Amino acid sequence: MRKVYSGIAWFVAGLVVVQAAAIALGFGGMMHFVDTGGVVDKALTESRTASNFTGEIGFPIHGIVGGLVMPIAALLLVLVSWFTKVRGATWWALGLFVLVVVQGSLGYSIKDVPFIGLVHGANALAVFVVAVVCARRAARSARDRVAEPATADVPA
Amino acid sequence: MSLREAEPATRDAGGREPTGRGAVLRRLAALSLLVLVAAGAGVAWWSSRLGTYSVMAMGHQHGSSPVVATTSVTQLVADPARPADVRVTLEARQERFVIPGGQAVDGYTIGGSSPGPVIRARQGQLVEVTLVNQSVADGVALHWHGVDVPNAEDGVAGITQDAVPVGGRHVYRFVATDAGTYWYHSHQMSHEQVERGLLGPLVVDPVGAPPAAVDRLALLHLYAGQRTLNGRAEDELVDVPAGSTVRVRVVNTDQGTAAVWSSGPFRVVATDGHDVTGPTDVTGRSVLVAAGGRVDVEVRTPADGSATRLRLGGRSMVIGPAGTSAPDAPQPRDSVDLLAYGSPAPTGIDTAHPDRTFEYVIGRRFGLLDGRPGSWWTINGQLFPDVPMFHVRLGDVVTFRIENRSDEVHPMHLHGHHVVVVSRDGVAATGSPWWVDSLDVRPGEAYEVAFVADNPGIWSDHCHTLAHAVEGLVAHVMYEGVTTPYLIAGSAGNHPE
Repeated sequence: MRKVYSGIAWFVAGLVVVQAAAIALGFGGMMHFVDTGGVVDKALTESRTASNFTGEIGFPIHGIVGGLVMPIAALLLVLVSWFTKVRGATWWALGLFVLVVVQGSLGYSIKDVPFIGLVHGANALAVFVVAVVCARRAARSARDRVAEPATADVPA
Repeated sequence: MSLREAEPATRDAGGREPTGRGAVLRRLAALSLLVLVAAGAGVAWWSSRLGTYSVMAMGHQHGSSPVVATTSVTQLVADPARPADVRVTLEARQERFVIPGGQAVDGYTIGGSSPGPVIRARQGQLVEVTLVNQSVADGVALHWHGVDVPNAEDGVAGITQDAVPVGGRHVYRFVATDAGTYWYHSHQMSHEQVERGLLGPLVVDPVGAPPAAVDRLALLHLYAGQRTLNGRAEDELVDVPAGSTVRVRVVNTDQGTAAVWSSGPFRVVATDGHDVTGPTDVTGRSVLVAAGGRVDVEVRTPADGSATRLRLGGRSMVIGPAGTSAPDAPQPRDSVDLLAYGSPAPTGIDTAHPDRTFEYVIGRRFGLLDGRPGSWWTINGQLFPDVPMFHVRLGDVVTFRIENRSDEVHPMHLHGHHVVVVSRDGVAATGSPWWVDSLDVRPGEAYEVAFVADNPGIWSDHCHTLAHAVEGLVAHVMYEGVTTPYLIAGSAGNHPE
């Protein structure tokens, strides 16, 4: 179970990288679109018929990963933590889950209060760091216990 | 804490299954709980499915208790004995077509093009339109957006008619009572058919002299990412002499707000087919047009012979003598507030003493809509179809408080009536009476609007970002004693949204 725990934590950390890449792709494509005479307005953002500019896919990726995939992965980490025998695993997983939920809420609120964007970026780094800590703690614990008999880690 | 630690007695060291009576009971209890939860979820899913239903059975009631229905929507028609003054036949097709100046798209045409032909009538004339469905597989119905037609002519599949199948036809008859700018579009699978082009403009000219010497339409539509102005993916030149006054009728057929601004001063002379009283010059501001809404602006070209650039969403209209160039028009940061634009005038509605007062509070939450889990729009906290049915009686003065507690703008459209804006966020309207049929309600805003219930029927009151209507943002105003024989879904396959 420690390996699963560690794997999920690395997955969450990786998703932070995906998020940064996706939003950069989206805004890069949008700026290119504007530079070439494109207009971004509500009519465009509500239109669902086609891809309007290169990189537009970055926005839905950012939304789905941040609003759905990451919260589910972080919740899964909390559940898995109950079955790992790593000291403090549940607390670290809960901390990560809270950070991920806060991150999503901040993201949805940026439209109303643009200054929230400043916190959203900083909190992304916190999510990344805590996910890496979770992963490394589990991995270290697994190494430390490698000599112990297998029966000591019977899963429930 | 691990589960293993919580229940040390249920397993022995070898991991064998527990055999005690207590353990069996615990397992039975857990199994029963699981079955109960699964059954509860199943019932919730099953009961959220819509299937075939009548709008008559929808929602929870607001207003008076309904009396025995005596009038069918099919009876609510224009005078059948009166001959038509304007006759049009429109053929609807599902096909691939080329956008002039752009690329080919898969969509819908009406009268051989998209947008369809301009229907032009003079105020007071009776318009008769024969709709022929040549190849629209899902069926089609035509709604006269902004025209306060008799209910039978409203073109909402499943409420005022059945969708017209391939090979079928349907005749619409209505008197063009109010002069102004309108449009028509499908109200069958509207989120799909409108977005892909099943629409066209309708203009009703006033009796007497035209309001401006030069009168142009500016119908905006996005076809698969292609910005068009009057169906062409290119800007338009309007060749007029210096010092001309040009009326531009902006029709926003898209799914979101369009901004309109100009390189020179302009005036907002009408909103949603109703004239603005005492319009003044707008400089350095844009005017916003809600999805489905119309705004008529008047541009006066400079006396020095230069042209004026009117920006319309993502397109431009260059207005001036041929060969002259128009200055660029950077987008203004602010927009004109129609709550305080123009000069006040009587509305004819006693808004201080309404007969009915309704709340239309828009929110969003997780739940099941037609068996699909998701984050859906709510009206007064409830998911579709458990949304309010707003009951009114003929002659009532009705006020609505429309509040948007969601995080997206909603262009709210009431069929069959025009409403006047009374206040926004508690601030009373001080300008010209602001008549609308499509009103943008932004996140956090609360509008109070009023109308006189003078057009009996069953009328949709929905968001004109049409995907939102599919996601449950639709309610109805129902007149006492009116009923409909039509069904949503059913054998006719009626899907109005």
